[in-house]
Amino acid sequence: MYPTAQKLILGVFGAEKFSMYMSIEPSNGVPIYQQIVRQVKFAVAEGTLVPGQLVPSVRDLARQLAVNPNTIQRAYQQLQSDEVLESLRGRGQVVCQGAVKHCIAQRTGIIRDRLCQVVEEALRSGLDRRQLQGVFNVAIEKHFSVHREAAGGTIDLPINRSPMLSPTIPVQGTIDSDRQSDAAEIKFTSEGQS
Amino acid sequence: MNPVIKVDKAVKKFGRKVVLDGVSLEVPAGVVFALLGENGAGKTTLIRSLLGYYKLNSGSINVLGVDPGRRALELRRKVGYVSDQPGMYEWMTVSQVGWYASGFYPEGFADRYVSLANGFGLPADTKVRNLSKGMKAKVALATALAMDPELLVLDEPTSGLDPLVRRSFLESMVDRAAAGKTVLLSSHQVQEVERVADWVAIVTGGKLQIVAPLETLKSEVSIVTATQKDSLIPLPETSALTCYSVQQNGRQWRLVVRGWNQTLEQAWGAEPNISEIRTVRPSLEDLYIAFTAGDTSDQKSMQAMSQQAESALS
Repeated sequence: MYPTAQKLILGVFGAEKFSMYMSIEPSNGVPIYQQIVRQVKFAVAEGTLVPGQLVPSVRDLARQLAVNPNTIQRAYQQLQSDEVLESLRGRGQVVCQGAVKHCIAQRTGIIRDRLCQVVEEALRSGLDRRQLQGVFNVAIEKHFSVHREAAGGTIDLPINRSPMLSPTIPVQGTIDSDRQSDAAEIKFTSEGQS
Repeated sequence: MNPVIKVDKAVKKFGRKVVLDGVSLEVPAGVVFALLGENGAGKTTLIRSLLGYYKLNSGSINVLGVDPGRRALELRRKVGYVSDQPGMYEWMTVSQVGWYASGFYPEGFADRYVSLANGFGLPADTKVRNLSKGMKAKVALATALAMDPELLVLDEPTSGLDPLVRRSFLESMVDRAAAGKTVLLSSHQVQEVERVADWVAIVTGGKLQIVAPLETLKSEVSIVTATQKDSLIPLPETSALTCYSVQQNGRQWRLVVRGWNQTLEQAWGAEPNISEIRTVRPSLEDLYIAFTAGDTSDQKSMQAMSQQAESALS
């Protein structure tokens, strides 16, 4: 009847100012306003949006994404209270000066949260800590070996030497403290890359 | 602010068949209000009653301060209406439709119609008869928007249209809302409604199941999946909750409930008979299915089942 994963390439932000593509999936469980907040933060973290840049008006963005204007308003409010956007009277909303730092930190936080969910699911499905770390290692190895081949040489990554990720590490502590140490590790590695 | 539409205990019968069964709702100004419901649920009847095409058997309706049953003509000048099968003179060209309609509305209509028709990419000199379904729908939308109505009513505007035409309908709705005007639409396209609507009403069998802001609905309703160890032992007490739908599949239960919280989740999780419990926030589609498919019959069968289970145990 309708596509389950309706992914439209949407919204060129205000023509000559800058362009950025956002995609909204109304029924993937994440509220639409949060999807927008997340994508703007990622764009600032990546440098697609830079401090001082104007973002489109609520009405323009609502039209471009075909999303209710109140939803956009809510996303902008959230971005304002997260110190990513500020309003310039009479001109609209701009990306704050300090936004890049916030956004990189928050992006790391979002990734950490998502990994935590995966960790939780894995623990629920019966993997123990060692197996999980093994799986994680394989995933990271797979990614970097692809990149190594693409680069045509061997790059010695600090991740390979990290004792935290060695599958032979003895298992200690409760699930909760496990999760905390995983979270710390994840934070460390993704900051190392960014 | 006064509601734009106020319906109070509306009853409409066709012969002996009750099509609207005591419908009451209010549509606040400046929102996108979506009527969701299966075919034959009474959405079109409700919309046509709002516009004065049908007279109610009982109850009252007020739209923009006007009783549509008495002053339908006056109302139709204020409301833009796109029906699911727009009636237009087939022998007119696109520009003639605008010229003809402009005779019924104040000045400015014709100019707005021309710019809207251009914006939609409609060929001015083509006869309506030779237009595709999507193009005809756009002519109807341009006519409805050209009067710059306080209230825009769209009856299944996007059914059977291609994604690009649907997109321009969605953009128009969003634009109206951003301009502070009210939009009432009926639809089955749950994903589209989820994008654009502020308020949602779900209709089944002529009755309103629920009317609420979409945000509230999504944040207050939960889908709880509980797995039991023994399916013959009934679930914990649910009377404190509003259950919209209860389904059982073997040892698994799926409840769509309002008022679920962490305390309850912990309490249920601590039950010796429950091996796993998960809670997710529903999408509008989940809610729609829960309200339209999982109605009271399921709750009755659940009661019957738990009674059976109790008697089997004793």
